[in-house]
Formats: sequence, C-alpha cells, structure tokens
Amino acid sequence: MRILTVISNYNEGEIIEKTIEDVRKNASIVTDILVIDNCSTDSSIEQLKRLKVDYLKHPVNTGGSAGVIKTAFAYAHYHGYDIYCHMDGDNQHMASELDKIVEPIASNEVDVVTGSRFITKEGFQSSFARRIGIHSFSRLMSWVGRRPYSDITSGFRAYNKKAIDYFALKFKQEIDTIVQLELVMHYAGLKGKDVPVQMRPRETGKSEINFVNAFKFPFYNMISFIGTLIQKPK
Amino acid sequence: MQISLKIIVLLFGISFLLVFVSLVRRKNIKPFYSTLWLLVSLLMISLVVFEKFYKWVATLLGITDASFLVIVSLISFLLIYVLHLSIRISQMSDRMQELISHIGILDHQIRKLKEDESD
Ligand SMILES: Nc1nc2c(ncn2[C@@H]2O[C@H](COP(=O)(O)OP(=O)(O)OP(=O)(O)O)[C@@H](O)[C@H]2O)c(=O)[nH]1
Ligand SMILES: [Mg+2]
Repeated sequence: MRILTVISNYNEGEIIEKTIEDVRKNASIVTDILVIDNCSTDSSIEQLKRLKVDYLKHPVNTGGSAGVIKTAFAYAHYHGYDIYCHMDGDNQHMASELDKIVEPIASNEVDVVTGSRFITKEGFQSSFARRIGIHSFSRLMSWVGRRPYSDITSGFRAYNKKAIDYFALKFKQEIDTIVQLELVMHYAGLKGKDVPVQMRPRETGKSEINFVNAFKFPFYNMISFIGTLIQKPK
Repeated sequence: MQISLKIIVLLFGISFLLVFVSLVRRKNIKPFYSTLWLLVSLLMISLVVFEKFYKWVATLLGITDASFLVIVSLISFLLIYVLHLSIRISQMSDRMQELISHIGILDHQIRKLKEDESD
C-alpha cells in the first residue's frame, strides 16, 4: 500500500523545517513526503531545497488552503497512491499520530478520517472564539451528514483511493472552504470518521484566522455551505 | 424630464461611452462585453434624445410614469448582466484551480526528470 503525506505550506518558512523533521523522524507509518507550496512569498522554497524534500509549487496562490488539497488529490491520483494524508505546514499536527488516521482506512472501515482534537480534549484546543465557530459548524455538519463531526476545520486527514479518484476525476470544481469539502464528500457518498488526536499550538507565522477573518470566516463558510447544500447530489 | 436631469444623464452617458471606447481600443475588454456596455451607454443617451418615444411605449403599456419604465429596464438589464458575470467567474475559478494543480504537477515532474538526468 503506497501512502503519500502532503504537507501544506504557505509562508511557513520559519517553521516548515520543524514540520518536515517531525514527519521524517516521527512518522508512525511508511510514507512518501510531498510539500505543496501555495506560492509562498517568504523563504519557504529555499528551505525546501536546502532540506532536500520533495516539493510541488503552485504557480499562483489559490487564495486559501483548500486549493492545496485539490492539487494533492490530483497528484495522488496521477502517481497512483492508495492513501493520501494531509498535514498543515505549521507543525500543529503530530507525525507520530499518522497511524491513527490511516488505520481506519487501511482496514477498509471508512473512506476519510479526520484527526480531531475535541474528542479527548487533550493538547492545544484553539482560542475560545475559534472553538465556537468550529463547534457550530461541526454541529451543523453532523446534522446534515448524520454522523458525529467534531473538528470540522481540522487539516489532519487521510483519504483513501475512492476519495482521491472522486476529487481527481469527477469533482472538477474549486473548493472554497474545508467545511464545504466535508459536505461535498458526504454527498459523494464517502464514509467518514473522526479519531482523537492532539495538536500543538501555532508557534510562528501567520494564521489564516486573524482579526478581520474572524468575522469573514463564519460568513464565508456559511455562504459556501448553503450554496453547496443547494447544489446537492449529482 | 427636468432639464438639469437631462444634462446629467446625457453627460453620464457620453462619458460612459468615451471610457468604454477607450477600454475597447486598448483591448482591456473583450468584444463580447464591449457590446453589452455599448448598449448601456447608448440606452442612457437615448433616454434624453428619444424621451418622447419612451413616453409613448410607457403609455402603450399603461404605465403613467415613463421614468419608472426606464429604471426597471435598466435594473433588470444590470441584474441579468451581473448574474452572467457570476456564472463566468465561477467557471473561471474552477478552471483556474484545475490549471494551478496541473501546472504544479507538471512543474514537479519536469524538475524530477531534470534531476534524474543530472544524476
Ligand atoms: N493562510 C493560508 N494558508 C495556507 C494557504 N495555502 C496553504 N496554507 C496552509 O494551510 C495550513 C492551515 O492554515 P492555518 O492558517 O494554520 O489554519 P488553521 O490551522 O485552521 O488555524 P490556526 O489554528 O490558527 O493555525 C497551513 O499549513 C498553511 O501553511 C493559503 O493560501 N493561505
Ligand atoms: Mg494551523
């Protein structure tokens, strides 16, 4: 079984080395590593060259982290991987827990696994405002998707071949938000599951969630969610 | 229409037309869209020039206030146009995403091949 671990990077030049080292040293699975750079404007590319890590670079920024996931699906399909694991470049996810998100897929239990920090509630729990947002959307998605979702914006995920093929071959649309991705997967009949993981707090770099975005994000998510609800099944 | 309003609408229509012509000349706008904007500016100018005609159409439809007819038709035109633009933007962003992904994959593949060559 061939597994690809994608590390999503956008201007994480200061921390990307730590993230890569974590995967190289502590990964609890056998996996290829690919960094997907969303056209960073900092020293990221020099870092990636120096670290001699395999990387793919977007020619322009996709305007959000979901664009990286779409590329990862296309790449995983093109190179015939069986499983694609996703990690954020800011070293918040733990390579030592990769087996936890891969196991339910390897055993053919589900198609997609999300690492959730809100099941055992250990480790970094994010800010209060952020938690409210995540919980509300998780609730909403649990209601629509008829299964418990607990950490809906979590980037720490594993997808099987069925999911890879669906996004690489069938779903040729841009995805705006991770919440929308979740809904699309539900409609596509992909079975999902959350497993408990821990996360680290963000050490450096800029989060997608700043003051302006704190207001923009819920709206943006809501709009794309409702739109996807209307679009529904194919 | 009041004379001052006529002058404002006329000036607006003409400057719109001028801006639009210069945009087309400099190839900043596609021919398809330029036709639409040409229609808008001509419509504005015609409001003043063919005021009688619009009044006639309005009475024919049983509308007493001719300006109302004009406003409604302008707004519907713009709504349809904006809807059209939304559709185009959606198509374009979907295609852009596909292209970004594929250029990324090809660029990565080429780099790999070159590395293999130099080894
Ligand atoms: N902001 C941003 N991040 C991107 C983009 N493309 C990829 N990313 C990566 O997406 C990942 C997630 O972004 P974060 O801003 O950390 O989002 P988050 O983890 O939900 O938020 P925090 O808990 O505040 O870190 C990071 O590894 C980024 O490097 C992009 O276009 N913009
Ligand atoms: Mg993060």
